[in-house]
This record gives sequence, C-alpha cells and structure tokens, in this order.
Amino acid sequence: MKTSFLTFFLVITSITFGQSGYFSGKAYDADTKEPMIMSSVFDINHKYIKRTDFDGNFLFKLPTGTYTFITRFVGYHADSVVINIKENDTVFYDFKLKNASVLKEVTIIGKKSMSSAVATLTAEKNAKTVTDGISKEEMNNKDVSNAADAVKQIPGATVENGKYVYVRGLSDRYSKTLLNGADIPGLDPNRNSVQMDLFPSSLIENVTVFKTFSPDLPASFTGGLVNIYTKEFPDKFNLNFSAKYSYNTQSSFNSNFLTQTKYSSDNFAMGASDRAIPSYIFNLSVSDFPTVGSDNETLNEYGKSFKREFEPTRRMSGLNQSYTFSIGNSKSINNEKVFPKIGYFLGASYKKSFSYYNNGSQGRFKLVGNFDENTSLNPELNLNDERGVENVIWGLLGNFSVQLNEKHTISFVTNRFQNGINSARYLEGNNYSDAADLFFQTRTLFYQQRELTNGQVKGQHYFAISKKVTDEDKDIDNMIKLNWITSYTQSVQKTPELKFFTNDYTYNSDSDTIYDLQPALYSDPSQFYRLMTETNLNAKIDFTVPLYVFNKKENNNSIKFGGYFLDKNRNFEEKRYDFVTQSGSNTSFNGNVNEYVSDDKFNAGDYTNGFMYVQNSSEDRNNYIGYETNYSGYVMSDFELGDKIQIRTGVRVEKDFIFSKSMNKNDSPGRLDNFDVLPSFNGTYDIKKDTLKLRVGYSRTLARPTFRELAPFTSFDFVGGNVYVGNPDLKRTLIDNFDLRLEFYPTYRENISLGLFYKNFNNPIERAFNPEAANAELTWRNVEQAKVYGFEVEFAKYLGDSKVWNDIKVGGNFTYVKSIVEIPTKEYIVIISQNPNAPTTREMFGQSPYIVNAFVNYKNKKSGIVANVNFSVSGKRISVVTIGATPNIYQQARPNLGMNISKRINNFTVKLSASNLLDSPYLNTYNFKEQDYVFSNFRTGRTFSIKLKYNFTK
Amino acid sequence: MKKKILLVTVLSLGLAVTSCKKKGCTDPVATNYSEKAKKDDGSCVYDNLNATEFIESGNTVTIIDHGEGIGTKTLTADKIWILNKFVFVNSGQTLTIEPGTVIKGKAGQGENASALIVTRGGKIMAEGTAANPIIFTAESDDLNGSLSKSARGLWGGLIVLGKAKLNSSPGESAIEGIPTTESRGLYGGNDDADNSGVLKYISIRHGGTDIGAGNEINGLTLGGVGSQTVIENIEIIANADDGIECFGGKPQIKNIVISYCADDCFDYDEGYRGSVQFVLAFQDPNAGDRMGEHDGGTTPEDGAPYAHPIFYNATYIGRGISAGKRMLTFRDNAGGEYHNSVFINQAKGIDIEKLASGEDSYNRFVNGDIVLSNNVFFDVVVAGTGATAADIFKISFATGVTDSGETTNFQNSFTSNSNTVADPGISVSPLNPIPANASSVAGAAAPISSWFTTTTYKGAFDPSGTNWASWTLLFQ
Repeated sequence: MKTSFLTFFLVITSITFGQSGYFSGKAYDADTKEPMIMSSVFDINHKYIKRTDFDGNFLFKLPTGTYTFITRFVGYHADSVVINIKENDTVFYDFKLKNASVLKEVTIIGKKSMSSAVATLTAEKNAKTVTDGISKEEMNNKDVSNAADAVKQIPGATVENGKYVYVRGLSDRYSKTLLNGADIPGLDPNRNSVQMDLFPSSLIENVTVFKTFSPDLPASFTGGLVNIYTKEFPDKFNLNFSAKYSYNTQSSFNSNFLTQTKYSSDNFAMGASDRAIPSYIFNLSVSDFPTVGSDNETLNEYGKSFKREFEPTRRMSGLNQSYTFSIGNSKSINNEKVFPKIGYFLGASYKKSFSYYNNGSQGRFKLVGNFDENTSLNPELNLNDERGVENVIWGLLGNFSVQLNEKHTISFVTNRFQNGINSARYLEGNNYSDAADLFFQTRTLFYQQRELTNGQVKGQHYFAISKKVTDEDKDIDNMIKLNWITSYTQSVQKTPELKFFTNDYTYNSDSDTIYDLQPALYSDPSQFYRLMTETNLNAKIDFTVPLYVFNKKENNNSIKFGGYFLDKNRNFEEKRYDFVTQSGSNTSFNGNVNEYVSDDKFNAGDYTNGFMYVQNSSEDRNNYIGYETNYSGYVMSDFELGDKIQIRTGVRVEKDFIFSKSMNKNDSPGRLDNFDVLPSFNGTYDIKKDTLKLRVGYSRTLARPTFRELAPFTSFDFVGGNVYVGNPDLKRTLIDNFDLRLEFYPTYRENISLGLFYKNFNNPIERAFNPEAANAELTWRNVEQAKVYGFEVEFAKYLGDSKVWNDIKVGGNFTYVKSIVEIPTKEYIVIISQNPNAPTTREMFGQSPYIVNAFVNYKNKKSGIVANVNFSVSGKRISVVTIGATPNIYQQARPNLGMNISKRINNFTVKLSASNLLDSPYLNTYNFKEQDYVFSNFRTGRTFSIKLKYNFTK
Repeated sequence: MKKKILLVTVLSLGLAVTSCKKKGCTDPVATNYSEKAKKDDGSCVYDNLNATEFIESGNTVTIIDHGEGIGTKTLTADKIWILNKFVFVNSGQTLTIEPGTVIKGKAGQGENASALIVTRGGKIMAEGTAANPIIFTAESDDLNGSLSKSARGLWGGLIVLGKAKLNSSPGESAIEGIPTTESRGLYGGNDDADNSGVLKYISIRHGGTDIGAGNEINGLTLGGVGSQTVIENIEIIANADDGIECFGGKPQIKNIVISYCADDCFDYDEGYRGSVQFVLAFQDPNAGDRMGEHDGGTTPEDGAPYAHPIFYNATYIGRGISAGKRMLTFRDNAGGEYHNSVFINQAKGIDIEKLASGEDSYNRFVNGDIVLSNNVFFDVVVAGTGATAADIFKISFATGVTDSGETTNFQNSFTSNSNTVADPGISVSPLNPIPANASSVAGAAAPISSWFTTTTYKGAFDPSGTNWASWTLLFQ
C-alpha cells in the first residue's frame, strides 16, 4: 500500500517559477508496454508530484536545476531518472516499470490508485488473498447507483432483496461489511449484515470483497468481507454535479400508485416524527393503560388520538430522480513547502424513487397427506398482491485529511446516510384454508426511517528505525508502518407506524356480500411501533515491520501485527396497539375501513350497541438489549521462498462476548463467551512470472448468532407471517475454508482465473421450525455440520488489438456451488411422517447452485463514448423452509439484463441506461411432482434513465 | 512527532476501551446485584427463583407462578383467587377447587395473558354444584351482573393438557400461545385413558384474550386429554375465541353450554376421538364463526388416529340466516358423528372437504367416519323449513376439483340417515332452547354406547323436561 500512499501526495502547481523548463514523458509496463494509468511521478524530495493520465502521460513545469524523479505504481518496482532542466527546454523520459515479484503490503484497501479498474485488477493480481474489487471508474461506467449494485459486479457475489450480500451463494449470515475498514452495525434487527442500498455510489471510492480470510481481518465472515471505501480528497480542485431521471414502466406517472398519507418531511427521509404516537399515550406502560371499564372516557379519547389510517390511498407517482454533488481539493498550508498539506472532500447525494406492481400474487400450498400417494399440493391461500413503495435516500460525506509530512497522515471521515420508506400494500383473494368461499382482504401500511451516522479518525505513519540514515532507509518501503482507526457509528431504525388491517367477506345464498372481521382467524387491526438503535465503537491498530529493519537487506518480507477492539450495543423496542371491537350492531364491518375505525365507534362500555377501543398489547418479551465486545489480536508474516513463492500466514485470536436478553425476566438471557484461535495460510506460486499464478489458502473463520437469534423472545412478523423465537443456547459456528485458485494475466488489463473452494461448517446455524408449535414457529438451531464446495471461473478479455476491437472488452464469471446441510432432527421427524424416504440433508438456506455474470464493455477515449451490456442470473435457491414434507420454497432464477451508453463532451457526460430489460418475475415456487405452485410472484417493470453529469477539475 | 502520534493512537484506543461499561448483574432483586454495574452480563443469581407467590390482600389471593406451579393445594370458596399471567398445575400436583370458588384472571395480552393450565401429569379436582358452581372470570367482573354477558377477551381461559394420543407429528405439541420454550405447555402422549381429574359445574366467562402471535385462548382448551377425565356441566360464555377446543385425545363431555363466543362454538383438531352429549351452543347475532369447526389433523392432515368424535343431543343455534356463517365444517380429514341433534338459525349448513388427492373428509364420509343421522334442521340456509338436503349438505371442493357425484352422494345421506327439516319451536330471542314442538324432535335413535344417556328426544333439551342449564350465567 505504501506505493499508493505516495500517490496521496498531491502536486501543488500554484508555486510561481522564475526560470523554468518542462519534464515530460510516459510511464508503462516494462513487459507488456501497456501505459501505467494513474501512477505517481515525483521528485525525490516529494516537492513535485503528478499522476499519469489515462494514456500514462505526465508533464511537469519545473524551475531549472537537477532533479531525481521516481515513478511508482502499486505492485511494481519503482523506476528513477536524473534529469537536468534548462530554461524553456523540455526533457523527455519514459519510465519503464517492472512488475514486482511480490509486494510488501498490498491490501485491497485502495486509495487514489484503486479507483481505476486496472488498478483494482492490479491490486487483485498482487493481493495475497483472494479478493475482488470494483472501482469508482467501473461504477461510473456501469449502471451502479449504490453499494449493492456495485457488489453485484463482483464474481460470485449476489445481492438479496437489493440489500444483503451473498458471496458464493452463502447467505448474508456469512458475509460482513466494513466501512473504510471499520465495523459498522446493520440496520435490520434480524441480520448481522449491513443494508448495502444505503450507500450511494457517488460517495464511494471503491468496494472490495475479500473471499479468503487473512489474520488482519475480522474473522466473522466466510463467504465474503465487503469493504466500502468512501471517497477521499482529489489531487486538484474538483467539482462534480449530476442529475438522473428514470422512467419505470410500472411505477412512473402512475395515477394508481398505491400509497398512504405523505408528509413533507418524507421528502427528506425524516417522516418518522410526523407519524409519532402522541407521547402521553406512547409513554404509558401496559399496566397504566386504561382498559374497558377502568376509565372509558380516557380510553375513548386515546383511541381517537391515533391516526387510524389503515386503508391505502392512490395518487399519481412521479419520475425517479437522483442528484449528487461533490467538491474536493487539496492544498499545502505553506506555499513554499509541500507539507503540511490539507485535503477535503464533501459529497452529498439524494435519491427519490417509486416502485409499484399490481401484478403480484401470493399463494400457500400444503401437502396434506403421504408424499408418495398424493399427486398435488392443496391450496390454502391465493391472493392478488399490489404494492407501492416510495423510497427517499440521502447521504452526506465529509473527509478531511492532514498530511503533516510524507510519513504522517491523519484523516477525519464523517458520514450520514438516511433512508425513508413509505409503503402501502393490498392483498385480496381466497383463503381456502378456512373455506373455499371465503375471501380475504389485507392491507399493510408502514413508514420506516433508517439512519446511519459514522465518524472515523484514522492515521497512517511511517517510522524509520535506523539512526544512521542511508538512502535505502529513507525509502518508506523500508520503514515501520503504523495504521490506526477509531470509528464510532450509530444506527437507528425507526418504524413509527406499521399497520395491518385484515378482514374477510363471503357471499350469502342471495349473493349479498357479507363482510366480517374475525380476530380468531387473523389479528385485529393493529399498529406496531419499532425502534432499534445500535452503537458501534471499533478501534484498530496495525503495525507492519519490513524485515529490512532487522537485516538491512532489501527484500519484500514483513511481519504485521495488531489489535482490534469492538464494542456493540443494541436496544430494540416494540409497542403494539390493537383496535379491538366488542361486537354489536354499531361495530359490524360493512367493507369501509375508515368507517369501521371512525371516531363514533370509540364508545367503550356500550355493550348494547358494541364499541371499539384501543388496547396496548405491547409485551416486554418483544423488547431486548444486546451487546458484544470483541478483543482481537493477530500476528502474521509475508515472506518469500525463493523467487516464485510468496507466503502470507499467521494467526488471529478473538475473545468475544455476546449477551442478549429480553425485557421479560422470565426469559433466560442468551450468552456466548468464546476465545478462538484462527489460523490462516495463503500461498502464491508464480508459475510464470507475472502471468500465471497459483494460490492456495486455508483459514478458519467463524459466524456468530445475531442478538435477535440469541434473545429468547418471540416476535410476530406479519410480513413473513411466521412467529420467530430466539434460541439462547446457540453456539457460534466454526468454518474451515480451503481455496485453490489459478490466475492467468495475458496482459495487464486482462485476466482469466479458475478457483476451487471447499468449506466445512461445524455447528452451522440454520433456520428451523419448532414442530411442536401450534402455529408456524421458526427458530434458529445449530445443526452438526454443513459443507459448501464449488468452483468459479472468471475472465476479462479485449477483443483484439485493432483500433475498433481494442475498445471492446468482454468478461464474465461463473460460480458453481454445492451445499449440503443436515435437517435438524426434530424437523426431520415431522418430514418422515409424510415421506419416509425423505433425504436427511438439504441445500443451505439461500444457497444458489450457480451464479453467472457476463458483460460487454465498449470504451473509446477519443470520442468519450462508453457503453455496457450486463447480464446476470443466479440459480434457484431455498427461500422458505416449509413444515413437514411440503416441498421447500425456491426463489427461481431471475435473469437480468441491463445496458447503458454514455458520452463525454468536455466537462459534461450524458448517460442513457436501461435496466431490468427482461423484466423477469420475482418468483418463488413450490415444486411437487414436476408441477410448480406459486408462493409469490411479481414484476417490477423496466427502467429507462438519463443522467447528466458535470465534472470540473482545475 | 512520533511520540505525539503514538499518544493520539493510544488515547483513541484507550477511549474505546474505557467507554466499555462495567459489566455485572443489574437487577436489584438479585442476590449478587452490583450497583456499579452498568451493563447486565447475565450473571444475576436469585434466591428461590421458581417459588410460586401467593399474595394475600383482604379476601383476594393473587397467584404468581415462577415455575414451581401452584402445588398440591385447595382453592377455598372463602377467597377470590386471582391468576397473574400463566398459572400451572405442574406434573404431580393436584389442584382442588371447592364448590362456589371464584377464580379471576388478570387482564393482559400475550405474555401478560392469564390462564390456568393443568399440565400433563397434573390434576384438577374442581367439583362445583348447580347451586354453587365454580366460576372462572375476569378480574374486572364483580359478579353483580354489571358486566355485560357478551363482554369478551378480558382474561385468558382454562387449559387442561394430558397424555392421550394426537395424530400430529411428532406426537406432542405446545398448546397455542405458550412459547415452545415453556415445556409445561406440551401435551400429547400414548395414554388415551389418561385422567386429568374432574371438572363439574364450572362457568368460564369473558375470556379469550390474545395469548400471542394472533392466537386467542379458547374458553376451555383440552389438549390430549384422556377418557378418564370427568367433564360435566360446563358453561363457556363470551369467549373471544372458540368456546371449547379439543386437540386430540379422548375427553368425554356431558352437559355443556357455549354462548356468545366470537369464534367457533365447538372446535376440534389433531385427532379428537371423544364422546359428547347434551350440548347447547348459542351465538351472538353479531359475533362468532362456525357452530362446529371440525379439523382432522394438521401436520400431517392424514395422521392417525383419525378424528372421530361422537356427538349426541346437540342443540346448535346460530347467528341467523343472513350472517353468512356455517353450521359445521368437516375438513383436513376430520371424521365425526352427530346424532339426535337440532341445528337452527344459520346461513350455511354442513360442508365436507374434498381434495384433489390424498385422504380428506369426504373419504371419511365414504368410509363411515362421518355420520349425520336423526338430526333436525330449521332456519338453516333458507328461512323456516324451506331448505332441502341440497341446501344444507355441501361438498367443499378444493380448487380445480370437479364434482364427480360426491355432492349427490352426500346429499342422499340426508334422507337415508333420517335427517329432517322441521320447526322444533325453539325461541332464539329471548332464548328458550326447550322445544315447543315435541313431535318435531321426537324419534331419537338409541345411542351406540352405554356412556351415552338414552333419550327419546333430539337436541340437548327434553321438550317435557326442565332446563338442566338453568345454573349457567346464560340463563340468569
């Protein structure tokens, strides 16, 4: 990383010269003769620094005199030249960089140089572990609007629900997300992973996925570790503005857009407070809440104080729109000197979007008897599904850095991401499970506000150990490096209103419609309030000691060690208010929702005519706290064995304590206290220098249960329809990972690789049914073992060297995964009661058997035209595990095709894009004896966008 | 410079470490409570954690069960006993309740719901009398008639769990609403002759609160209850869910009055095989679903033993012919028999489920597991006596299943099994369940076993007799 560290040094051109001349040239790869884009060219005193452009060219204006100039690029040996500048003369020199056999320290954590695709590829090539990255440049080229879109571009990675990262098909339980290398909390109470759609691409420098563990990384990932690197300051003054408008065939300008009341604060994703329950009601505990007979007048008044909006409304939706703005610069404080230098980057993004479908369906089916004897599944539910969602998301990012001198940099990063979701859903159809002629109507309205605020202070320092300073000692490659970061994050998820209203209707013999509400079949109209807050303090320190320090011999061996501390606190609160009726002639339901909950119904105590009242149904057990502390340390070494073998090996120790308890004291708390030793070995063998590499890796990683999984509380999730109960006896999972990868780099910008992987899970946590439960109740259980193995192939190739073909790149990746997990014994007993021949294993939850990504890229620098076609699909995977021998539900493969084209005209770029062109359905099905039964199905429509971008660089 | 940087680093790390609060036990009730602790680490230790509390105040005793159950104990009639949340009669314990005793449940939903639960291996000896029945009601009921008869959902209910057979897999279940983590909520076993004790002259009122996850508690829940348990003269009134629900087992029930319940009057599931005689079920015109919801099994639906209870002398009075509700539904492979019964005042009649494949209730009908004989219908589907077998007996076909003679086959049994449409002369409002037209309910068939009392009449009441249910709240 130290090389890119140097690229951090920025050139200051405002120094006025007396007599001066020019130094010009090009930097290119000594072997491939390809230009070195964005490599840094600087004089030995670090007074003059520039980066090469996209053709590898550079130009300096210099006072007359003699200079030693050096060029570096990550993964390459530096080249240097001594030049003499005469007045009005130009010195030409081309730097030829040789690919370094090994880097002392290449982590993928990119700085400036990481933002080009080539740099990312170069870093991947030189990384000691298996990593994949996507740079700012790629994000610009492709149609990437947030971190979730970015991760999708990475081989073997998929994104579930537009939010959660699956790597090699392993569910998000086995992935982890870092922000600038530090831990951040997720926003979903039920998951450990971070919602990736929160991070707009305009504020991201790059996104990297580590697929193998090395001891300097937190060990709690198995599929992938995603590191989102936010933008840093630019070399020169830079101002950026963009506006994007998208038209979706279903959700734009739709006068039937399903919604609920909107507040102006919703436009800023801050609508939670406008939906707050009055505090004098909200603050009352269950025991203090009035009940029928205790204080009818107050009870009536409270009932009427709720907004009671249960019926979705319709209005015209607009275009999807997003705007970004950023400004950045860097400058030395003293014009005479390069240091100290300060830099800043300020960015803002805003996006508002609509999604809508009325083509959805929901079905529930059941195998009623013996598996072999039955020919079909029996329908229980068949509903039409309509949904409208309005989504506002914004982000602010500030990055301030101070570079005291070439050896010491301190940065302050602060971000805030906020998201507001206003959702309305309406389902209607048959409920066969009760009666063939019974129809259901159910409405779900909610508003959710998610906030993530993060502050980080980090530093990078180089220390020369030797007192006797030689030229070699001055080279920071040979110094001890110290990196540290302290990061504090607060995440909040507020759901001020989550409302349900369900009723049924049937027909009389004379065809009259008879409406009814049957709380015995489904819940009374109800309103939930949920709040989750989580704070996360993470501090990390890493020392890298080049072995040069000890033996004064130039080599690439080093020892790295460091410490890590994490303190995580969560608080989850839930309140529930039911709108209960004492039936009577006044409270019969005639199909009109607003009338059913109107003010005049709140007449507690009127048993003659019936009445409605609000009931505080909150439960202590649905509130919990959790915290986790983690102390980790590691030591690892990078060293070479001969010319061809590089080894990175070491061990990490993690002492982790998780505690989670519900506010109901009768529920025993969940507690996990582990000390784990996690070894890792990664070896790289250069079969053919710089073109063919073989990597071998073994590591042990782990996966811990979430607070929610460990908390023994019961929650009722309407949306999923199941009851979830935590399991305080959960253990953490240990995973042994084996990797083998062969990489071939025909040229500096092309690659082909083939990887094999095998993962053995000890005590994996699987979602499982409690077969004794009266209603579908899910919990989490450790099963003994699971295995995941497979291979992945990746390539990127330019079509040729001729003028036209040289601009066209094709690439793709294919991952094949096989997973086997034992079915928990208790669940298996129920399955074999219907199907004695049922297998004892199944695929892992959420695991796709294959993942395919393919792209064609066209990029012409001269015309400024960039075009892309992307295709991706991942194979069907278990989305719902069912009870008994009813087949499990699979999410079907959903092929996705998108394309875009952009043209740069001076400072402006215009981009046209089309996404979701196939409009494949989001389809979940049961398959029984060759026949598919729809569990859920909807389409979201095609989207066409135009984006205008202005970029000014001085 | 170097030192300064190090200092900053150390400070920032130090800040991180010290901000981690001291851990310990934060519950003041615990013996190892630490005032300094800011964060609970689950280390709390309590004295006598599981002991049941009996808190006396005046003539009321509030019972709080922390795990040990109520114990072998007698609830005396001189006190009012208050149930705070779930109170269990644990395995091995016998709860005796004196005649005339009042037991009240506290209000609350979910984890705060109150209920008396007789667990597997526990026993209840609750023998009231007609003059001094045992009353289960809500805490807010002062028993002076000020609370409306139809007030529902004010507390939980009475739950009795036993060791008799279920037809669900894995053979034991957790009763609705009690978390599976509470092992005392489990029922089911292999002893169909299990004995959970005696329930006589008991009135269960105003219950059915939401016990969690959208489940309401039934007035009387019998989970895996065995045939040796004595259940006679029970009233369930104004329950927010079913009046009575039997999950498997073989409980034998005589003289039961179910009224004003918001869901079904008599519900069964998981392979119920008991005998029932003399049932009055009466619905509020504004609330209630089916008179009888009869399910065979759940997971799997065709589990053995099949549900096959036998009812004699039921009088079912529904919500009225325009309320859209059903009299009886047999589904999920349920069997069951109704003999000598009277069904009046409901919009829909009796339906039997027919699936595309596999075992279903229609198969049960064909195999003689569903028998409807010697019953009288009035004001069902069509006002008065206008209804025919085709109106009252229906097959409920699963989607895509076409009728290949099933409907005709079922409807033919209406007449062949001596069912009639006739006016028994029962007054719905004001309620008088004793038939005025004795002839329309005459001609009862002899019962199939000696457990049943032989009657000359159909329905729960003898046209020439007195009202055996006059002790209930319904008739006060």
